[in-house]
Amino acid sequence: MSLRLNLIVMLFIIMVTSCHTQRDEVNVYSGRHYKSDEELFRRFTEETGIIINLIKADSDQLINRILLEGEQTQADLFITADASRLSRAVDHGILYPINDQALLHMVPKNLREPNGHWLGLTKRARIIVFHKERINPQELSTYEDLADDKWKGRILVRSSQSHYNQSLLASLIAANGHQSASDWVEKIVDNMAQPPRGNDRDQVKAIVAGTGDLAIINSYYLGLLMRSTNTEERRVANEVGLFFPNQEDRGTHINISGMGIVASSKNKDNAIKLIRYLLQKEAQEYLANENFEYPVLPQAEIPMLLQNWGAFKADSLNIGKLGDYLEDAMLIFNKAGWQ
Amino acid sequence: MKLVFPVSLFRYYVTNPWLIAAFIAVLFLLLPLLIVMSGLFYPANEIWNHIVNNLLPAYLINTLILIVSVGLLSFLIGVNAAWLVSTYRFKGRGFFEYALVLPMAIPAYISGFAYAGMLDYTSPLYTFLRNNFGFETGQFLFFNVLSLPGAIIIFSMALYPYVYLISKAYFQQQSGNVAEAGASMGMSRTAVYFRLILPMARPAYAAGLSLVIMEVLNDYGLVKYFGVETFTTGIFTAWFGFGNLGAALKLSVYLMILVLALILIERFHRRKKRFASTSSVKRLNRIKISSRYGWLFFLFCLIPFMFGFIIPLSAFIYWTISAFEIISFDFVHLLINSFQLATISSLLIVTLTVFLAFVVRTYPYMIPRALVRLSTLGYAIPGAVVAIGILVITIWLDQHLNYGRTWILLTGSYVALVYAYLVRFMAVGYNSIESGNAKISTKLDQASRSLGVSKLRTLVQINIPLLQGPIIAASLLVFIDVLKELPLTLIMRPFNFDTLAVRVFEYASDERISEAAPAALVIILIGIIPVYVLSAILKQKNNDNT
Repeated sequence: MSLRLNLIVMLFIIMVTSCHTQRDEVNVYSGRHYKSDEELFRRFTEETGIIINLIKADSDQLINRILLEGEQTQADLFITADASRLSRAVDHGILYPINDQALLHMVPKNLREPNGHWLGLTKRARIIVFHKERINPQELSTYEDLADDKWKGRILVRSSQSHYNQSLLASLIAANGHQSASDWVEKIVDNMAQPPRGNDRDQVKAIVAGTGDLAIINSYYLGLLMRSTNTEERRVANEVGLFFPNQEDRGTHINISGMGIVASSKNKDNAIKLIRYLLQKEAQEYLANENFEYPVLPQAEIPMLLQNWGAFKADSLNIGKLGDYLEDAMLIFNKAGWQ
Repeated sequence: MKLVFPVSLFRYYVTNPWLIAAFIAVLFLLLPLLIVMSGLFYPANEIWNHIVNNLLPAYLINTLILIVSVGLLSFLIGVNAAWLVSTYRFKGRGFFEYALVLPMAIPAYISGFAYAGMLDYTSPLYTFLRNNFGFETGQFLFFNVLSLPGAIIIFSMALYPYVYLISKAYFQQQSGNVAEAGASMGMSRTAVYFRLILPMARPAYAAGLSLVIMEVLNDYGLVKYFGVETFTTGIFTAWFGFGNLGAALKLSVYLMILVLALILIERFHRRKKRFASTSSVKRLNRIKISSRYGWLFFLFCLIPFMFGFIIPLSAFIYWTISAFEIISFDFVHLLINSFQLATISSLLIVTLTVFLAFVVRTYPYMIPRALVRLSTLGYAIPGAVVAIGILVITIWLDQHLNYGRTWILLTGSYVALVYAYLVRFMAVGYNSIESGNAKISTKLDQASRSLGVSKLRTLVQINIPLLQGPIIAASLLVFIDVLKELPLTLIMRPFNFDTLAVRVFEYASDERISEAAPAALVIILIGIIPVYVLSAILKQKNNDNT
């Protein structure tokens, strides 16, 4: 039957064309979904002629995919927007230790894995934003203080499914121990203005709408609101103030986007080239300007908006430590009923 | 009933080419599901105990509330609207008959993004109300849409067309005689509806409802965004959050058991009732009604149409226009990708389902029937879980069929993605074809066979022509489903291969709803084409029949 034959031929063609031939390329599995990244990849290809193949998905899904694919994986570079996920990738043994000391030393020591399994790409702070009229910044001090009864019904924060909240809690476990962190979560759940819903930007809007008085969010979301094309979003951003917690002790919790070379990568050299490109001053400043993230490269200039927020003391804990407490953090959240 | 000894029954199974072919097809579809089911044998570890103690109760309760409420609302809207447009003449009837299908073009998660965006504090709507009328709009004006009730309403408005479409086809093709018979016994049209038509239409709306429920069970995008914790988000949490594949597979198995139980309960209730009808198709005469009722019916049809289609569509049009300068319109390749995938998948699925439904019809034994039914379970399983099953297979194949090269043949390929769609969307095709088959008397097959016509010719010359409507319906339903599919595509797509749905999800979850808007619009518009074609063909068919 000719129809059947056609189908077989068609399937065969599809199979053949879906195979990858060896080219000068690098395959990126990324948990970051920003246009700015794709623009940088485009420029990289323009400059080096190395083609970038990109798969974007949730970081945990990417880790699982690399694990399932095992030695046959096509992945060369793994990029994620959460430090705990980098540690998890190391625990699974899917990352390759980079030996290039010059490359490693471009990034501050606490923002990379000691053995070179991964390095930071950008950083962001988990800050407190508050309504300027309803809260005097003098009242604010630390993450721990948010457990106080005076904040009852006033705190806005997103779901515990958020990687950013999980890493924040991991940092609290690292600083104060399991029991104390567990009590903290229970008190925060009590103090919430509403059950967690929406994303970080929604928390800021909920402050202005009067649902609550303060929110725990990532710094760059505030930047995105301030530079929004929507005038109402800019108004919202102007009605709130920003506070860096824990300045008197260990410093504000920071998280990073980071990258590591996949252990079974077949294009390690190209992956290194891409890492080096992304750590260049120019690329770092581009990311900071587009996404309002802090660059990891000390020499990179911080955009005006972030400079206006002022310098702050960041938690000096090695970012890689967060992963040790990730599972604990998730268990604590679930037990306390933080949705 | 023919009594056959087990041994000869076995010999019968293994020598019959139809059954062998069907078994191979079923095995092919069941394999990923069997891999998922192996999760049952994973030892229960600490994570699993944690999930059972702290999370499972909420998953179960939320999931049950969702499927019961969405099922009920979709039933009320879908069946009643189908009846109204089929049996009464009122203002706007002709328009609504087709317009009511349109919400199907908008995936529930895209609709959810639209409502969340619209009822947001800084949305144009709220801004307008605040600035022009001095309303003190709280965070959400009417009620907090990001909630379980919000999800229920959005799901219902997005999914009722599954019930509507199948019920309407049934009413218009099958209920003319019944209505006449009822009328001759002095029953009013309303009495005919409740006492005769509704009970008889059960296979039709049951098929529609099971699609609705399975869509709800599979959804990840909407419940995730709305913060409703269901079985599906639980599977993601267990697999990705806790990195515990075993616990994720266990949850998936329980989800499958839940679906199986629902299907069996429905079957059990239907047991021994026969729904076949051999009488010629008779079109329902539409009754004229008073204008008061006319307006009421108009309103009844208007509400789901507005909430399911016009409002989200307008929102995306508004966002597209208002952010026109910052949007890139590089859709052509995404469009081609989505279109290709959807076409290939729907062709394959329809071919397979027609074949399998014919085998079940020709050999109405327990085992083939049960196996084929099982092979459609993929629809009830979250796309991500189907993806695990397929990945395990393709990786195994890649490792054992060593081609002597380093690159991968199957994993992350187009073929694997289409295979996943087959496993995932078999039910969509099968339910439609099966309910079509149920209406064709098996006497026709018997007559054909008794005249010495081969089974293949019976299938091609009798069965397929009679199934024309269901076949078209099935292919279009699958087409739209593939077009909208998200979680599975996210995990399994090849390199540099994006679909429209992926683009929308990425931007929307990145909190860039206005940049997601044009791709969402394209999905909606492409989704409208098959809906329109489907309606036109059904209409043509109705006209031919009268």
